[in-house]
Parts: sequence; C-alpha cells; structure tokens
Amino acid sequence: MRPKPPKAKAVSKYFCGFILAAALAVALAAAALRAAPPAAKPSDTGDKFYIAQLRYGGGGDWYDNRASMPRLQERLAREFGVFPGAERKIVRLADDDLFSYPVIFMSGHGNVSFAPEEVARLRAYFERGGFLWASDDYGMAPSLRRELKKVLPGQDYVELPFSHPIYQAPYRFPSGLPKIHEHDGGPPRGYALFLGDRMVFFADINTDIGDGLEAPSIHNDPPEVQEQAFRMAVNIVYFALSQ
Amino acid sequence: MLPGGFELSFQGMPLWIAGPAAALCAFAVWRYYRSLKAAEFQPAWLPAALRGAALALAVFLSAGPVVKFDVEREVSPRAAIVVDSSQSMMSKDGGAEERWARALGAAEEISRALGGKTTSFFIASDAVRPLASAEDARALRPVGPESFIAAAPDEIAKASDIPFTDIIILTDGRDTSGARPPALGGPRAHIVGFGSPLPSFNAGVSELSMPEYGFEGEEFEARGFVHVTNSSGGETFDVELHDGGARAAAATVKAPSGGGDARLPFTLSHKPSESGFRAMTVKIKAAAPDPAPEDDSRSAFVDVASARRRLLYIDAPRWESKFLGAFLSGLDATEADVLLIGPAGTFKGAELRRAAASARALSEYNLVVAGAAAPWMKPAERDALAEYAERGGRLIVLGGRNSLAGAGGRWKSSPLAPGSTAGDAAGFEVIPTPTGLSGPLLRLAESEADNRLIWKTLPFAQTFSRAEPPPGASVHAEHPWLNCGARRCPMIMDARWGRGRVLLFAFDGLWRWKFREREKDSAAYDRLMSNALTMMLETENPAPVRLFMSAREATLGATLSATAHVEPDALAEGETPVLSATAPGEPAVEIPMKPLEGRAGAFSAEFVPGRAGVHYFTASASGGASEPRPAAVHASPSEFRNPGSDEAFMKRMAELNGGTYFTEADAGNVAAAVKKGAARERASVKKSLWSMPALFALVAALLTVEWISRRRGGLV
Repeated sequence: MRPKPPKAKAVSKYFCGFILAAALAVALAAAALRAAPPAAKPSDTGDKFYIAQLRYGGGGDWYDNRASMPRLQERLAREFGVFPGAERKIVRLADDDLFSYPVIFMSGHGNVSFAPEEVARLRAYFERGGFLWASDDYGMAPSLRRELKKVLPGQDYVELPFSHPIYQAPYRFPSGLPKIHEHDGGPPRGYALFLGDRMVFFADINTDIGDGLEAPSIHNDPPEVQEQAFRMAVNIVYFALSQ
Repeated sequence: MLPGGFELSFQGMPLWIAGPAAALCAFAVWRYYRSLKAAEFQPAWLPAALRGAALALAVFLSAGPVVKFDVEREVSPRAAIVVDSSQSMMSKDGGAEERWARALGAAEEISRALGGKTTSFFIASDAVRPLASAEDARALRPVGPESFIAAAPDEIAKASDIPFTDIIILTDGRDTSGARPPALGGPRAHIVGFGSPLPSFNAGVSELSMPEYGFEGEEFEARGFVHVTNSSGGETFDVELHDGGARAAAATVKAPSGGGDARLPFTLSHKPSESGFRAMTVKIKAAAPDPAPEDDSRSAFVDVASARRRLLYIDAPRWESKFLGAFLSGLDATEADVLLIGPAGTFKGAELRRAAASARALSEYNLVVAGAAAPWMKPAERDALAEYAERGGRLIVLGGRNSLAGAGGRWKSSPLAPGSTAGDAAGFEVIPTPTGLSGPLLRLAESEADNRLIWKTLPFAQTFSRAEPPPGASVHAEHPWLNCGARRCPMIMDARWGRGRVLLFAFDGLWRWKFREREKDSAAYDRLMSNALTMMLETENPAPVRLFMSAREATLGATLSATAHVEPDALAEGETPVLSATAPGEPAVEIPMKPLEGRAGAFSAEFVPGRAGVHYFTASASGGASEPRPAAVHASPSEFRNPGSDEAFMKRMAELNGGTYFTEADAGNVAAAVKKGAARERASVKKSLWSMPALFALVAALLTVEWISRRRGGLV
C-alpha cells in the first residue's frame, strides 16, 4: 500500500478535526435544545377534534381504515358537539405531536413492533392520560399483546364483562361488542389494560369495529351493521373521555 | 554568577548614538596613549587605561542602564478569617453560648492579635459572604442550610482579589457535601474546631407528611420518621401531635437494640374539632438528653373545612372535560358532580339536570364550573345559572367555542358580555397582565422568574370569547393583539355579578397543558386549577389588605417573600403597608413593604427567618390589616443529624495545607502560629544605574587617579 503524502495526511487530519468539531457542536446544540423548556407553539390540531391513527412498526398494515376516523369524527361532532377535523391524522409514537391526541386508534392484520423508545413513550402517554384503541383486523392481536407487555410489564389483557360501562353508555350493548365482520368464527371480545384504576387501552377482537366505520363502498356492510360499529365506537371514545 | 532572573536593559541614550560615542572615545584614548608614548611617559598604558575606563563608564551610564533581578523575602501575613455560619453553629454544646457566638469572639481576638489591617472577614455555609468585620456578623444568625467547608477556600479566592497567605476557619467541621479535605496548593489553612468531637447522640423529626385539607370531625393521619444518630440502642421516644397549642395525639417509638443510626416510622391520627387553617406540630421527647433540640419538632398546615365543599361541573364530552373532570373528581377537599351534555342529550348525570334547572337547587353548590355546553342547555338552565351567580353563587366559565359567555337571556347582562365566541385555528398566546402576575391566581411557581417562564410555555389557545371588562373587574391575562373596547380582550378575568362572582377563562385548550409530556406542565395545570378553586371559594367580602406568602414551608435561612394587595381606600396618601413577622417566642418584627413596580395596590417585602418553628405574618395599613398568614420554618436536616464536630476532617484539612489544627480552647495561639510560619515570596527588583551616585564617584575617582599619575610623571 502506498503511504499517503504528508500534505494529504495533514488535510485528512484537518478533515477529521472538522468532523469532530461539527459533531461536538451538533451534540451541544442538541443538549441545549433538550435542556430548554418547550416554548409555546401552535398545535397541529388547532381547535378541531381528531382521533389520530397510529403508524406502528413491525410490518403490519397500519394504514388500513383510511376513512374510519374522519367518519367517526363527523359522527362525534353530531353527538358530542365537538368541532370535527375533516381529514385523517396519522401519528407515530415517537412524533412530537403524539400528545396532541388524547385518544389514538390502531388497526391492521399483521405484526406490530415497538422500538424501545416507543415503548417508553407509550407508557408516558398512558401515564399522562392517553388512551389507545386497537381494532384488530384479524391477525394483529398476538403481536400487539406481546408489545404491550413491554409497555406495562406484569399486566395482561383483562376481558371486560358485558356489564362494563363501556357497553352501557351512551348506547347500550347488553351482549357486549357487536359483530361487524366474520373471519375465524367465535364471539367478539373486548380486552382492556389498566393503569391504576384508569383504563388506558381497549381492544376489539374478532369483530373489526374499525372496518365497520369505513365508507360503505369499501366492505359493503349493511347500514344497520355500520350503525352498530359507529355506536360502539362512540361508546369507546365516550368512555375514554369520561372515565 | 549572576543572580536569578538577571536582566540588563537601557532606557537613556539610544544605542545607535552610544555606539559611535564609544568608538569616538576609544579613538580618543588611543590617540592619548600614542601621545604619552611620544612623551616617553612610563608606563604609558596606565593613564590611558584609567581615562578609557572613566570614559567607558560615562558612556555606559548615559545610555540609562537598568538591571532587574529576583530576590526572596519574608511576606507579612494576609489572613482570611472564615466563620462557619451553618445552622449547626447554633448548638450550645450544653453551655450558655452558641458555637456561633463563641466562634465570633475567637475570630475577633485573632483579628486583633494579627492587626486588623492584615485580616479580611468572611462567613461561610453553602456559600461564602465577605463582611467588613466580625462585629457585622453579630447582627446575623447562623442559618446556612449546609456546611461546605472543603469548598470555602476556593470560594474565598473567587470572592476576593487579595492573595491570602493564611486562611483561618472557625467551624464544627462537619462538611455536609460529603467532600474530602482538600489540598489547596496555596495559602495555609488553620482550623479552629468547635463542638465535641465525641460521637454525639441526636434524634429529630423528618419527612413529615399530612394532607393539605381536612374536615371537622373527620380523622386524618400524620406520618413521618424519627431519625436517630449514634443511638446506644433501645431508647424510646414519645412523639406528639399538637393541633395549635393542644396535644391531639401521641405515640411511642423505640430505637433498635443494636444501636447506631435509625429511621423510626410513626403514624398519628387526629380528628380536628375546629375548622380553619391550622398549624399541626409533631414534637419528640427523647429519653436521653438531646444536644441538638433544633430538629425535635416539625410543623405543617392542614386546611380544616367545616364541611366538604360541593361543586357542579357542566360541560360537553370533549378533551377539556376529560382532563378537567378527572382533576375535579380527584380533589380531596371538594365533592364534584359532573354533568355532561351534548347535541345527543345527557351523557352523564341525568339526575343532576333537575338541579341545573333552578337557582334554588344550584345554591346547594359552593361553586359551578360551566364549560362548552351552552347550545345544548335549555334556556331555563342557562338562566338558572345566571340567577345563581346574581344571588351570590360562584361561577367559573370556560369560554371557548359553545361557552356560556355567548349565551342569551339573562347572560346578556353578565360581566362576560358581549360574549361572542370565535375560533382561531392558528392559536394565540395567553399573556398574563402585571395584575395577574402579582396575584395568587396565576402563581404557578415560587419565584417570579419561574412563574413567568411557565406562562411562556403555556400551549396556544384556540377559541375564545370576547368580553369587555366591566368596572371593577380584575384582568389577569389578555389576548396578545385583539382589542375588546379600549383594551386587549381579557382571557382570564374575574368580576362581580350581582352578589356573586364569576371567573372567566375566555379560551379553550387548557387540556393541552395537562396532557403535555412533562410532569412539570401537568403540575402547573393542577396548580392553576387549584388556585382558581381557592380564589372562587374564599370569603364573600375580601379584606381591604390581603397577604400572600411565597411558601407555606421554608428552610431556616431561606428568603420568604410576602406580597400584599391593598384596596386603594385602605391606604392614606403616600402610605405603604407594613409587614409584621412573628417568630416563635419572639416579639414581632416590622418591615416596611415596597410598592411593586407597575402594579397598583401591590407591595412586597422579604423576611429571612432566623429560628425554626411556625411564624405568623400580617400586612397592615391605616385602613385595615390582613388575616395572619403562617409559615412553618424547618431546620436543615443535614445540619443537625449529627451534632458532633468532625475533628478528623479538620485535622486532615489543616495538615494537607501546611496549617495547624486548634481546639476552641487553643484559639488564642492561632495568631502566633500565623506569624511564626510567615511565608517567603520571590520578588523581582528593578534598579536604574543612572541614579547611583557611587558610579559617578567612580568616574571621578578614575579621572583623579589618572591626573595624579600624570602629575607624578611630570606631565602636569
């Protein structure tokens, strides 16, 4: 190997020095930004009511149910009197604006995986009062259950009885979750996770409420089935708001 | 051999002149030598050499030679006398005088013996403070919360330009920072130790906790620990809870039989029989004598209400109600009923709607909080709320979209008129006014700077209602640019409404503050809401002078700030109110209060407590006085945990720094030790040869000898 000429060595030395200095400057700036208190700034959501859809890792189809939340927001505006956002908001657990959405929704058929920093963020989100609603499109439940055990160690899904308030108001569901879509047979099940005595997570499994909120042309659900999905979705959001 | 640091320089004739002059002299001497030889003068070289030497010396001197060299000399001592002003110096060690007074006496004696001009005086605890003399320290109390003895010499070097030769520290030597004795590498450190170096027993009360609120006839618990240092094992301690001056509960705890240090938990239950803001004090009585009684009691305050206050919260299901509803429902001192209504009907509290429909039923509540549900309330319900306020009810209105601020009917005559609501998707900052920042409602941190910072971080508000402040309203915060009438639109305002009172938060979005990721923001939201509830639930007719203390509890020596709000008719022209501070067992001290700049009717004063225990503060003016405000002052736990002195630390620090350790009894020998081992220093000396008469005499002598030699040779 040919030795480097002295001038090249010097240039390389200066270049390394420059890179080190730049890295140091970036690190110092980052540290300063972290140390500074967050200044007041406008929110992405403004004065509108949104339920954001969670974009998660692991390969699952997080992006499905494109129209579900905007349609639910419209419905909640009519029922609760909130000022609805017209579009779908998507949020990652690591995003700055996660805490602009007190309730977030997730759905999909595939694998869910949370990075370690996302696990910590989701726990902080729960602790501050956030609520996650997962509508299993058939297939997402096992991996989500595994990931949530990292977020709330030592806790596992609790199946809610039909007498639980989430099935009582504003709409009554005496038999628990309504069945929206049939895939593998079996009754619909509602599971929850709690932080203290506050519910922070609800999962509808074996029914697919999220699909039931989609535009009618997507799944061709009859209007009465769609209405059942909307009513249950209203109950879930109402429970998250009022507990 | 030349002395160290020798240097020769010239400051007179420039060298370019001196050079030719020297050459000319040399030529003249050569000619002189030749003429002597021609005259057969023997020896011819002698007069030539003498004249040459004289000329050379004259030229050298006219060039202005200056020599510089180093010398070593003895330095007269410059001593810093440092007295430990931490709280442990209050200990009397079984005698009549505190360590502090004894140390000041010793410091004065040392200063006199050294000669006052060569000494500087400091006091040191967690920080170092220079003083003009030990006499000045006599006006102070040793209230420092920590003893940072190891760091004191460095702090002195920063605080003073004087290069001290000796530092004399008068202390009990227990460094509470945990630092090891330092090697300073500069001045010598002499230590005079106060207190007993033997292992010393102490017991005190620590980590006392009680609920902030209680109710008449309802039991509450006071929990805490008795900390014991150097226990010999098996001692018992009577722990008593005193409500005001009366003993209310007692328990006994026992130290483990093995001895040493221990934390002994206690729980005391008490059922207060009187309402009010009550001072609860936990005291211990040890079986063995306790040399540090300063930490034997600790106080806290419990706001005892005669009955649980009732509150009705009306809102629509939305983010604001999610967080505010949870906050209100979680309060100990109030019982909150929540009514949620929307376009689809009643979501929660259907039975409460009957109450909401009449002012008579609403009068059961001490406070009503009304959010964004106005469009879905019946006109009769809206009017009932207005009537409730007019008849003396207390109302907090959250005034964004759908708020009651824009409601019709009786609300048209409310202080919130005209009350039109508007959205602002981009959002806006809520700007506290000087009135707001000086009052208790917007106080979210102890210090004013921290409070301003918190308000800067408030998330943007989105929707708001326009209201023109009626006469007598207090505007606490306003819109950054929109005007309502002649001034910026009020965003937080309180005003009287008939016989009642209304507090308006004229915007939406407070929930974002509560939901922020940082715990601090959530705590600030809780504090704002608590302040709002306290303000709205206070007495009907506020006193002409109202006093607010910066803290309910403080450490000994920490500054307590008092802010008084005085109604204009309570002050004579040019008068300022006076703060009266009463420490336990002492007469009241009166402190004139200063007007706060830009805040009409607001005055402030500061007080540094010098004793532990419950203090009472009152602000008074010619038109009235405030209710007494208490503050509990605690001794620093780290200062009294071990009241003995740390002799090993002091000896090692003196040894590492070329000084001597003295006991209190030997303090009279300190000055002699400082003088005896006076330091030596190297100094640079500069001398001009031009001004030395001896050199001129030498020139004259050379010329004289030369003349004599010529005369003896017969040439003169």
